[in-house]
Amino acid sequence: MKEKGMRKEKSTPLSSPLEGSEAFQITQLRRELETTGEHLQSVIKEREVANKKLSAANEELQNINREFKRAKEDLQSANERLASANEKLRNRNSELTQIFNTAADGMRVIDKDFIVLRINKTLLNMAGLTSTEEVVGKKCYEAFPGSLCHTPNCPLTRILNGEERVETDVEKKPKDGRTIPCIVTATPFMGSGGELIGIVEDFKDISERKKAEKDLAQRAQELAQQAEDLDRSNRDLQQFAYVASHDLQEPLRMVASYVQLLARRYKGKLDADADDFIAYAVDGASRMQTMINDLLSYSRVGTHGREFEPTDCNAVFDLATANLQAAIIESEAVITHDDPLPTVMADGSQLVQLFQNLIGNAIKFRSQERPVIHISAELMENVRENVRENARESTWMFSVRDNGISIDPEYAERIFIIFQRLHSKAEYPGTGIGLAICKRIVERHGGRIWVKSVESVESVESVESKQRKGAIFYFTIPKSAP
Amino acid sequence: MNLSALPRPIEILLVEDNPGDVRLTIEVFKEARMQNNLHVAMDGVEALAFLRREGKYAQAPRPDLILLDLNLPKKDGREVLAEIKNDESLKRIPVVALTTSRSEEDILKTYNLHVNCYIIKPVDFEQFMGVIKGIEGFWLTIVKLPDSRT
Repeated sequence: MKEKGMRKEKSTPLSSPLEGSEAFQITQLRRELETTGEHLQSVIKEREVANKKLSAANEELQNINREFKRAKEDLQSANERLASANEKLRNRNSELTQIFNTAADGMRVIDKDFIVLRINKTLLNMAGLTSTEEVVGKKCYEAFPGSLCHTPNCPLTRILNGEERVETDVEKKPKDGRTIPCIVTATPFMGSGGELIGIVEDFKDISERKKAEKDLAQRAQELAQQAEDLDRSNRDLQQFAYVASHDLQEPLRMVASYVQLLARRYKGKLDADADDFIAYAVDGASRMQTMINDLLSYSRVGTHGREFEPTDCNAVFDLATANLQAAIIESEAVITHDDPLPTVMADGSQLVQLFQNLIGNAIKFRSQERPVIHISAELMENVRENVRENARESTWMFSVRDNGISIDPEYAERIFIIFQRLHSKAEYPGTGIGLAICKRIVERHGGRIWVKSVESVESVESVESKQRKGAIFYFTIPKSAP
Repeated sequence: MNLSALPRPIEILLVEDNPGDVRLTIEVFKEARMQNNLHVAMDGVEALAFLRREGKYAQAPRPDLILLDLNLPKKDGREVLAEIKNDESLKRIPVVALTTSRSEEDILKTYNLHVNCYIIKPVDFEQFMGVIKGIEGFWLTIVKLPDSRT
């Protein structure tokens, strides 16, 4: 039978009689063919539709498959990332745990109900425990109590009451009965949503510090006691010096007076020997009187010292030189000073004594030429010349420079000792108390005194050292009272 | 000749407990220009007995000048001074405090008791002589003393 494009033949109802039954059969057959053809076509169509559906379904499945694959890949890589993040987290955790455990202070985290959430090794040791299980999950006041437990000062209580940070002393009480003095610092412990979970506590063991403080206090007390003893000893010594020299005056007065009376009454009336003897006795007695007076002056630097007040050194200079007028005129001395000299906190009359002694010495111990004396003052910042205070201090450094006989550096320290002289009294008068008094006055004011000899030189460098031999006495006075 | 017009020696009472100082004073007064009799009392009780002409001092002259050391045994010089200046018959006699004390307090107290002047005994002998000569020169020469013969 022809399949393709079978045209429907126009069926003519009554064509030929011959063809009647055969034509009827053929028409029937044709009709059956058509029907079958139609049937086939619809089946084919159905099958085509079904095919199409299958195809589509297939495609969809393939798409799903592809997506599935992709999703699987994504999952895998997400998994890998997660695994690596996990690894990092584990590392970080162990780092933080390490840091937490190696912290020098004891640390712990407790929650709002006093349950210990975390505890570090240091605190564990402090508590005398070995494993965290003995502590974590238990109440903090049972696991490792202290002096603040159940008191209003308990750090957790205070933080729950709104304080932002608590730092206070506490005595922790480990199981073995000791007490450990600590400083506890507590801060709020927040959860990831910003809610308060509990507190972090840091315990700093200060037993070492407390011991050191105790030792220091004890030492300070010892020193205070020593200072008191020294003070008393000093005062006794001073009183002794004063009383001794004061009480020695009277018998000395007797000796000196009567020997002088002898000299007056009998000089020339006895033999020459007697005259000599009397002369020596008179001389000895009067020297002893001078020494005792000097000793009294020396001890008075302490006993008669007055309170310090602002003292104008220009006025001091004027007064000292006024007192030395006779010697200045006689020696034709030229005495100058820096203009102006400063004002310092001092005992005015003692300062006059000091200037007078130094200038007087400069005149007395002169060389062949007329004495040329200059006094200068320089402000030294942050110099540790100040004997009394260790604090950084501004200090005035004075110098008294002369062109007289210089001083052998070997004796530079000895001259400040009482009655120490470098020359016989025939060469230069005096008992040798002047510089000792100067030293005492300077030291009472918290300063230092020393001497430098100038040996030569026409130094090319400095115009100042045009001067030749001589001595420079330096002394310091701190800017403010000691 | 009116005997009472002849210059008579000045009567001086020295109240001093240190024998050394006594002798020194005596020796120096020996060289004085004016004729003088130096009487000595070694403590405060004796001094007042002399002034009041008691016991062995019944015939004692009234002194024209009193040199008084402040530090005396038995009766202290300040007490003696107070009694002298409170006694009608004695208070006109000039009293010169001659003492070793330099204390400001002493000086003030003594002037408050109306001492006529206060002299600190010098340590040096030459100066001491100068002081005695000065006392003599001032109190016995320049100053007009009241007539003590009462």
